[in-house]
Amino acid sequence: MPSEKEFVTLLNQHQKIVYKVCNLYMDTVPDREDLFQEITLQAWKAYGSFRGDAKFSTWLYRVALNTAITFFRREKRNPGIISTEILPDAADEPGDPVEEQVKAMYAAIGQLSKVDKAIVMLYLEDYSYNEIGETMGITANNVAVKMNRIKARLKEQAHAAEQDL
Amino acid sequence: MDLDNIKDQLKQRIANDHYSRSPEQLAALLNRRAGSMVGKLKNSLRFEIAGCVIVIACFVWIAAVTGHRSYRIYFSVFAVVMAVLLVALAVLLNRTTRLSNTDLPVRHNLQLIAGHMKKLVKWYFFFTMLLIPVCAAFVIVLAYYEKGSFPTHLLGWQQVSPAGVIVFLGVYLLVLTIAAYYFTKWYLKKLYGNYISRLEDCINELSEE
Repeated sequence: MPSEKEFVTLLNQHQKIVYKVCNLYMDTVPDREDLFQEITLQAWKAYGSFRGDAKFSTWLYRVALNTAITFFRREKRNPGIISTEILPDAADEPGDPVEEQVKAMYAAIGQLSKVDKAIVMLYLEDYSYNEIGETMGITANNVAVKMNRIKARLKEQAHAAEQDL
Repeated sequence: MDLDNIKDQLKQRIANDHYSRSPEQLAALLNRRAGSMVGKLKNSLRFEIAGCVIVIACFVWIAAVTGHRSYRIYFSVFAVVMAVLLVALAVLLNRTTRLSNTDLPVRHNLQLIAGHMKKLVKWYFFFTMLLIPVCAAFVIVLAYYEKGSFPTHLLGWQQVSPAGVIVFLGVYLLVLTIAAYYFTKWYLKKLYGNYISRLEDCINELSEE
């Protein structure tokens, strides 16, 4: 019988992983809250099968990404509270080139498909192509091909977005 | 502008959030209801099982109290059919409960969920369509041999020949079959069809090189 206390302790230490996935996959605060709750629940249900042969963080990423990818919401007429991450930050220095690039790239990542977002997320967390492939259930070669395409697409979209900003 | 050049700044941006939850707040989330599609599927199956139990109880009651032999045969047989459906739904619910293997590799997990839902939709549609000709055959045979049991008075018919009853039933069942075919297709697509297509899009995207 899995220990709830043990699970909550581990989740508390790694909750940033869940936040990252929620921030990447959902635009509004209520949707992020819903996804956070859903990931927590699914992780708890799956915790009984966690054998400790992989790192808890890797396992949690897998659960979180599975949940985020299969989490579909109906299109809402009222978009709800948009996260302030998407809105321009008044505190940012106007014209800070690096910050502008990051904003543009972040917006471009937000336009990727659910699958591509998962791959980029793991890539940004410094997982190797082998590890990304194991998590996604595809070969490392397939990951490499996809990453090349994603990088090219992101570069193009971010450049276009940066010019708009 | 390359992804690799601004990797660290991007990581920080994605990780940025409004607040952190305490262990007590995290523990409180564990007792909530799941909103996932698999969770909704389980609720749907539980609802169908409850409906089945009620229908079986009604059919058994009608078979017990009716004075017409044909009604008794009809409702008894379909109480048994519904009991078989009840067992099948219970098996499906059990398999769906074991489906929450969210720690599998993403592609395998998606394939498992999509495959299970496609089977459910196919089976549900097949069973619904199969019931119509079975019901039709039963109703026609029973109405023919015990025409006094057919409630012609409800339709305002004073004298109806057995042939007339059969023609009426034939037309009625044809209309019912067509309506059931389109309604069931629409109902299942509305419930699960769009979700299955989206899952398959994700699977195809992962599978392509």
